[in-house]
Amino acid sequence: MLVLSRKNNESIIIDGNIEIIVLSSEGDTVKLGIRAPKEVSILRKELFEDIQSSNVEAVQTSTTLKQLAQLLKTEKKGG
Amino acid sequence: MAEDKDNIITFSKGLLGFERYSQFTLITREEEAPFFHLESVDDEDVSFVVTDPFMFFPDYEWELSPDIQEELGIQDVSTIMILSIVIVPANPLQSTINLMAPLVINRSTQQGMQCVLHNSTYGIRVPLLEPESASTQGG
Repeated sequence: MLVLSRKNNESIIIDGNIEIIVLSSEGDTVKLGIRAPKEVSILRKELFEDIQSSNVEAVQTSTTLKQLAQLLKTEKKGG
Repeated sequence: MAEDKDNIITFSKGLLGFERYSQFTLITREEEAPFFHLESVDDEDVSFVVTDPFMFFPDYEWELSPDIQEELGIQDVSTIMILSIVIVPANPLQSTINLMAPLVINRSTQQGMQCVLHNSTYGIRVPLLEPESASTQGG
């Protein structure tokens, strides 16, 4: 991993067109500003990982679908 | 059984965790309605169960950003299809739906992407069979 020190209002440029600016830092919280082309997806890592693992789980469990469809039909008849 | 294998949808960025897979087909089987399979053209083991989220959550609502509309080449909103990924565990009563990261597909160009609704409170694993809890599942 590349490690850099930056002060408030200083920034780094990635790949010529993505800029990450340190807006402020207070205690253990750093506020970042990001300028990037709009097709670049930017996500908090926790959210990224959560969606990723949910997608993986979805693929692993997709075989029991027929059962669910059946269940739904039964539920509709009942309610 | 109706399997439309020619109907290929391109997710140029893939889906999160499956970035290498960009081409999918939507497979409909009568006995599985209202669910579909979104299956990778390259690997049939990469298959997602998807459904129309509005059918289960009529109040589901969010704004499709102009950036995404542009990226998917959406000219006419009537060509948009929204699908949500469903996790169907061994006990299908515990199935969940991902309302935080829906799939947006432009049916006229067959381009799709998984959008993340950063600013919403919709959950990633919302119980499918208890619709009333949808909006209370924090993201």
